[in-house]
Amino acid sequence: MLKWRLIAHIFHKEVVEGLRGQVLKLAGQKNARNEVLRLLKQTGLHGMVVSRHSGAGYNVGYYYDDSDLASLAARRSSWALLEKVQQSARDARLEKYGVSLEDLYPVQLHSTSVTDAQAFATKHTGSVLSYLMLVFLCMLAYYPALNATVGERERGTLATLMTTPARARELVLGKYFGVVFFCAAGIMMYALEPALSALWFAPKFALRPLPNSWWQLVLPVSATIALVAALTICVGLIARRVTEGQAFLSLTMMFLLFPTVAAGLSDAQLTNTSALIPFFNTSLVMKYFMQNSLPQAPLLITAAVNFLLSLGMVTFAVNSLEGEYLAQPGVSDVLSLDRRILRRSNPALGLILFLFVIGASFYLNMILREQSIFLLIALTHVGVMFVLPWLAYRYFNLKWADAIPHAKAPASVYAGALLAALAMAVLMIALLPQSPLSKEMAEELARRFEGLGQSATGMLLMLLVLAILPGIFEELAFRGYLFTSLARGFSGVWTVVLTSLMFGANHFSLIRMLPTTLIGLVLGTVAWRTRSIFPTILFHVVYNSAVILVAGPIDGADGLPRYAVWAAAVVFALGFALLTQPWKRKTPESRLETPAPLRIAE
Amino acid sequence: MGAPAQETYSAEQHQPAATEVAIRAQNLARELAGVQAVKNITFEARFGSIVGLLGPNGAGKTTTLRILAGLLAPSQGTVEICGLRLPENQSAIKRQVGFLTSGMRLYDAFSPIESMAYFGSLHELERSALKHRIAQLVQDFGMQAFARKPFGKLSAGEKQRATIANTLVHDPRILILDEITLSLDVHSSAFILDFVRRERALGKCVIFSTHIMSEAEYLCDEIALIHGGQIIDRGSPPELIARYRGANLTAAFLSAVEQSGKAGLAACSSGD
Repeated sequence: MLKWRLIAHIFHKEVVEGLRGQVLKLAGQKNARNEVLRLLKQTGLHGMVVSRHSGAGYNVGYYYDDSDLASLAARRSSWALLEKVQQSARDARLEKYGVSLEDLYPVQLHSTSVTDAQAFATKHTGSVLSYLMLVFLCMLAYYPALNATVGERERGTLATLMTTPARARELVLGKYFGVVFFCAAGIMMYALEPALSALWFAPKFALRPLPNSWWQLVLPVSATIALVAALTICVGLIARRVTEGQAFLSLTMMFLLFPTVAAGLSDAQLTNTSALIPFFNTSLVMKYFMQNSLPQAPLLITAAVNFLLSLGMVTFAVNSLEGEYLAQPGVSDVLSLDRRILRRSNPALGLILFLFVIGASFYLNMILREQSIFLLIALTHVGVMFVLPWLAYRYFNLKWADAIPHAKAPASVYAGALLAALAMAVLMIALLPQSPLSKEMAEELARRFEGLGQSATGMLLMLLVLAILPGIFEELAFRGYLFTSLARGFSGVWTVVLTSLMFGANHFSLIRMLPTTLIGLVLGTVAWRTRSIFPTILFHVVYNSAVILVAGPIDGADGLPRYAVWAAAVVFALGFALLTQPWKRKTPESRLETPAPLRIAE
Repeated sequence: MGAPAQETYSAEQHQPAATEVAIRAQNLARELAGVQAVKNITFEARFGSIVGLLGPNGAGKTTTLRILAGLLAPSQGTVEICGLRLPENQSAIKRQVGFLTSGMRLYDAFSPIESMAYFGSLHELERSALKHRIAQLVQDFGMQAFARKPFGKLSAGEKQRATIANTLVHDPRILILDEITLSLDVHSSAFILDFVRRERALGKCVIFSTHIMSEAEYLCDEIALIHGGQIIDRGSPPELIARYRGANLTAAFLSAVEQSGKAGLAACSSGD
C-alpha cells in the first residue's frame, strides 16, 4: 500500500535505521517539481523523499501528488515514519549531549488542523475513551473485592475466618493481593488489544506510539491498581451488605469518571501539583503516554501518592478488622446514601454491557474501516449491539424479556414519534454548524457506495444500513438492556442522562457526540415514559432516514428558510408531547420506580 | 477405625486440671449501635464444666460470647483465657478456643472435609495430624454420607454438624457455643447436646448459650442468668430452682427477672 522512494545523499547512520527504500540521485536541482512529478507518474510511486546535507544536520523534503488519492493517503503514514526518524535522531543527539527535552523546549507547541472535522473529533474522543476504559476495567476489581470482604461477611464465613489464629493483617493482605492480581490480569488483557493492533496495524495506521521506556507507564498504572484495590477492600470491609458496597462503589466510579474525562479534554498538564490528585494524575500520565513525552518528577510523585494512599487504606482496613469488625458502621451510616439506591441491585451489569458495546465496536471499526463500511456498520449493529449483550445476559442467566422495555403504547405515541423525528431531523440540519451526517462521512459513504444513492435499490440499501439497522439495534442496546440495567441502580433521570452520554460516546467523535447525546436524551425520556422501545425504534429509523434523504439536497442552515425552522420546532414540541404524554400520570408502580426483579431464565 | 488411638491423641494434647480456671472475665461492657449491649459482666469458667448463659433474645448473650472469643473488643473490662490476656495474645488464645455462633457458616463450594482441611491449615496444624483429626471428626459426627458434598447442598442438620466439626478441627480446650441448636429438629439437637456432654467428659470447658430452659437444665453445671445485658444471678440449676422456689428452671428464671427488675427500680429511686 505504501510506496515511496528515498532520493538522497547518504543519511547519517542513526537516521537511516528504519528507512529502507531505493536511493536515487536526483539529476540537478532545477525544475525539481516537474522532475519529481514525472518520476512519480512513471514509476507509480506514491511519494518521494529528498534529503540534503545542511550544516550539522539534514534537510528532508517530502514530495507527493495532490491529485492522486493514493498518494494523499500514503503521505500521512510516510510522514509519521519520517517524524519517527526525526525524533529518534533528535533523541540520540540529546542523549549524546545529556540534555533533556524540557531543557530544550521550555515552550511546548501544539497544532491541530480544524479542516477535517472527523479526524479532529476522533483524536479527542479517542483519547477520552482510553481513560474511560481504564476506569471501567478497574471497576472489575470491585467484584472480587466485595466478594472477598462483605460477601464473606454476608455469608457468615468471615466470622469463621476470624476465629482462626490468622491475624487481621494476614487476612486483609491476602484478600488485597488477590484483588491486585485480578486487576493486573485485567489490565494486561486490556493491553493485549492495543499491543496486537500495534503489531498488525501500526505500520498501516501508526495508531499508538511506543513508550520511551516501559516503566513510565507501568509504574503509575500499578500504583493506580494498588489504589483501586485498596479502595474496594476498604469499602468492602465497612459495608454491611454486598448491595451497599456495590451501590457505593458504582457511584464512586461514576464520580471518578469526571477527573479522568477532564484530564483528557482539558489542557491540564502533568505537573508536580496535578500529580498530587489521585486518578486525575493517572489520566494525565495516559495522556502524556499518548504524546510520547513523560516528565520524570511528576511521574514519580504520581506513583508515590497513589502507593501511599493505598498503604493508608490497607492499614485502615486492617485496623477495622482488628477485633472490631462486627461493630463497624455501614457505609450508609457514614455517608447517608440514598436508601432507594441501596435497595436495588446492580447497575454494574449495564456498565459491563457498555464496555462490550464500546470495546467491540471500536475494535471492529479499526479492522473493517478500510475494508467495507457496509460490513462494518452491519456487523457493529447486529453483532456488537445485539449478539454480544445477549450472550452477556445468557451468561448471567437473566431473562431476555426483562432487559427490553416492551409495554404497549397507544397509536398517538407512534404518531408523535413520526412527527418529532421528522422535525428533529430538520432542526438538526438547520441549527448545527456541521450537518448531523458530517460532510466527510457523507462523501466517504458516497465514494464507498459508488453512486448507490442514484439508483432506487442503492438508496434502499443505504437506508437499510444507515437507518433501519441502527434504528433497531441501537435501541435494543441503549434503550433496551443498558437502560434497564442502569435503572436498577440509578434514578430515572440519571438513567436517561447516563444512557444518552453512552449513546453519544459510542459515535466516536466529539462533533457527532453532541447531537447524538441530545437525541439520546429525547429517546431515553420516551423509553422512560412509555416503558417501551418500539416508539423509540420508529423515531430512530425515521430520524436517520430523514437526515440521509434531506442532508443531500439541503446543505446547512443556509438551505432552509427561517420560518421552516420555527415550524419544525413547533412540530417537534407537538410530537414530543404526544410521545411522552405528560398529562397522563403514570401509576405509582412505574417500571423505573420498581424495576422487575431479574428473573433467572429457565 | 482407630477410634481409641484418637482418644489418646486428644488426651495427650490436654492434661485437664479440673479446677483450673479457663476463662476469667471482669467488668465487661460494650455498646453496639448506640445501645449498651452488655455491662458489668463478671464471670469465671473452669475446665471440665459446662457453663450456661441463659437469657431471652437480645439479652446480650452473643455479644458477651463474641468478646470472650476475641472477635469484639470490649469498651471496658478485661478477659483472661488460660491465664492469657486479650487482645495481646489473640492468636495464642484463638488456638485454644472453638467459637460457634448461629450466623457462622462455611464456604458453600467446599465440602466439609475441604473446609476442615482449609481451616486446619489456618490453625497451622501439622499435615498428617490434621488428616487424622479430620477422619476422626467425620466418624464422630457421622458425616460419612455427606463429607464430600459441597456445603451449600447439605440439609440444615448436616450443615450444623459440619460447622461444629469444623469448629473442633484444632481440638480446642475451650468451646464457646452460641445457640447452636437453634432451628434444628429434636433428633439433631439431641445429638449435639450429647456431643457437648462428651466434650466435658474430655475435660474441656464449654460455654453454652441458649434461651431453651430444658437444654440448660439438662446440660449445665452452672448457669448465669442474663437479662438486659447484665448477669442477674448465677448458680447450679438445682440451686437456682431452690432459690427462686420454682417448679423448674423456667419458673425460676421468670421470678429472677421480676426480682431484678424490682431491684433495679429501687436502685433508681434511691439514686434520686
